[in-house]
Amino acid sequence: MGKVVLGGAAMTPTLVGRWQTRLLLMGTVGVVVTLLMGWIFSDFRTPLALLFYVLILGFAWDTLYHLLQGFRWDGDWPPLFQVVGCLAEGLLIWLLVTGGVFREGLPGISPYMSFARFAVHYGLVWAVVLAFTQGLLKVIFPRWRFRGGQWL
Amino acid sequence: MMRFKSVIVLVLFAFLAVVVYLIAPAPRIDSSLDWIIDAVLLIFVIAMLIWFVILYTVDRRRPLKYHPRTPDDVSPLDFQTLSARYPISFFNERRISSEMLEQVDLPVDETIYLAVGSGLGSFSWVNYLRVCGATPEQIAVIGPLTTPYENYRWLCRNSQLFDEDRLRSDSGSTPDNIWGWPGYAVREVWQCLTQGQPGQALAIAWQVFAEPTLTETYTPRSGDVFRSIDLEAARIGWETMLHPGFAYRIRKTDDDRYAVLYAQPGHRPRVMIARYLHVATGYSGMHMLPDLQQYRERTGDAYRVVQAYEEHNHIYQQLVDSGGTVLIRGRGIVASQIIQRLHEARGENPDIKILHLMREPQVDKRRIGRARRLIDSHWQLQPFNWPKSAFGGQWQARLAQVEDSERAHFFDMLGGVTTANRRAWRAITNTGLREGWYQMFFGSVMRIEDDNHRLVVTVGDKNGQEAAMFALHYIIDATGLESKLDDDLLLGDLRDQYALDLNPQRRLSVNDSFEIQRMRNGEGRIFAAGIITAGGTYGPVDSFAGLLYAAQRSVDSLVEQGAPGLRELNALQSTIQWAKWCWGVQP
Repeated sequence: MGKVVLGGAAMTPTLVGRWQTRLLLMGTVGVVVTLLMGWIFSDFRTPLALLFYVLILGFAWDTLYHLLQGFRWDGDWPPLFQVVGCLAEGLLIWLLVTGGVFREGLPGISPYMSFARFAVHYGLVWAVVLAFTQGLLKVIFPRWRFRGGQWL
Repeated sequence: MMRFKSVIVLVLFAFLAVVVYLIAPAPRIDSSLDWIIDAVLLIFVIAMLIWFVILYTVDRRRPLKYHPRTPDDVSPLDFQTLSARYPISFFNERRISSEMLEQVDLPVDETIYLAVGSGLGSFSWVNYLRVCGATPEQIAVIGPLTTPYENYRWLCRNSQLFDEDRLRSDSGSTPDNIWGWPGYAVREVWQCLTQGQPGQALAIAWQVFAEPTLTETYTPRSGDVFRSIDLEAARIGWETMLHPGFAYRIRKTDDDRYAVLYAQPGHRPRVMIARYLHVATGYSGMHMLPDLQQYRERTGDAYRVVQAYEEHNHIYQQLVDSGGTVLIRGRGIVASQIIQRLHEARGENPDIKILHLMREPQVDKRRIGRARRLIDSHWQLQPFNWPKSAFGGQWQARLAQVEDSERAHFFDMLGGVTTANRRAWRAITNTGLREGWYQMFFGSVMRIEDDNHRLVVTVGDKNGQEAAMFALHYIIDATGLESKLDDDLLLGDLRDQYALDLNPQRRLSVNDSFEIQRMRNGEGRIFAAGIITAGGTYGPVDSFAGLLYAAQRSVDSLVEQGAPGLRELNALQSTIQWAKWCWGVQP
């Protein structure tokens, strides 16, 4: 017995899918945005180091998200959650790099980096990542959404 | 190969980043912030321009004007009756040779790719084939429907879901677009903007963003889905590939191909030969509860006791005119839809009562691991017919891995009968329960009797004891459609003839590429999709997204095999094809 009035659902990530998608997007469009910022800021080192930290910490964040996702019956991760996650990740990074956690901040980060620069760079990387996961990635990788976010 | 290329690209980017980092000069102190704002604005404007171009082009596609056929009131004859009239009995053989076909006087056509069934399953497969490079001349479709959604829309309308109503489907489950983007939500936002309804556009955008936690899940209007399929049908040349008729027999040939016997009611049967077949014939009929079935057979009363998918508008008209009591069976989305319709009828005549009979109460939330499913007033709630991640994600991965025996349990837990969590529906049931015009009962029907223009229904409890009696006017069975192979003339024969494997749910067993492996014939391949494959390693086969997924898997395996006219849908090809879709030009 079945019901006809139905259609299906959007992509929801697995843990490996999360890691792979993060690596792919940060490693490509993330780098492009970061280089653009480096050019505007006349400082390539700080944005690139930032991107690296966001990526590495992100793998740990993804594990946390994956555990939380297990509480959801649908096993999904709505865009709203993605944005909340982005804010939490950003806050942690800011605390780390400016010495809120480590007295000296993190290596590679200019001590003169302002919050505005950080916010513009980090915000833009995330906006682009969000845009890709919500749309363009499905176009470039037509199988991605059926594989829990894996592209490898 | 494609993954390898992606890795290379990634490594190049990483290399670039490292080199720039190493050679970059030491930073200077921040000056003013003006240029930051300029830069962000510039990027924003560029992004909006790209967005605008994409959305504008989506609107440029033109729908297909179908050539209406003369309506066939004649239902198809069975094979025996047909074979008494035409020389087709050689189709009882397991293998058909070219000599056999030459000896009889039947029109024979040849093609490379053949879709059996002309509904949404075949449409998804043909669409994917076209996007991967097959031409309309290489593809044929056999089926009785004029438009791919004809049967679907008919069922929707009968179950009181009209073109302006919303389906239970995700924005990204787009039968007209194999990429799932832009989804129906984005298109509806655009439609609202161009029609001067920015408020509505914003509401939908917020819905997609915050669903399902802060808002209800977005679902598309069925009319919008049908129109989008018309557009795509025109783009891929659907009508030129369509051969009207019902398929009767599928047979292996002695030259690594397959012969399909089909006929249009009142016409001479024809034969189509193809190397690659795709079977998506859907449900074989309507399901009716045994007690209702017996009542109908005994009394011939198909007026007061109906299946929700049957045409039954007379019930609502009668109820509005003179009031009455309706008994509903089943607790899925169709039951919700019917109750909504009855609630609307109550607006015109408050003298309408709804009784809802269910086998047993539903109080305990289902749980698997840490997750639990929502329940409200004995209705199981879930946005779609499967949890979202069963379409692609955690549950999908899990279902693919487990043993057959364990899978049955998951099917029961994850699939099962549910309805959508819609505020309006919950309000109707809860208000109805409070005010008494909607009541729920638990038990099973023992007797249905006809007593002076009323139906008297006797309900038994768990132990088979008489528990209650109801006098009412109509019974609506909302328990769904029939999907057993035994009732399917084409597939039942195929299963018997070639001793096909069945999955634990006794439907066609297919491999990960949705191929019926037993039907391999040298180079020849047969794939299957939709409800006829339910019970395998992928759960939601019977959905728009499931049909897209099946099409992707089967066509990908054909590409790997080197099937003629197809090329790999890699990142570049995919993007080019998507751009063509946006522009509304042929693949």
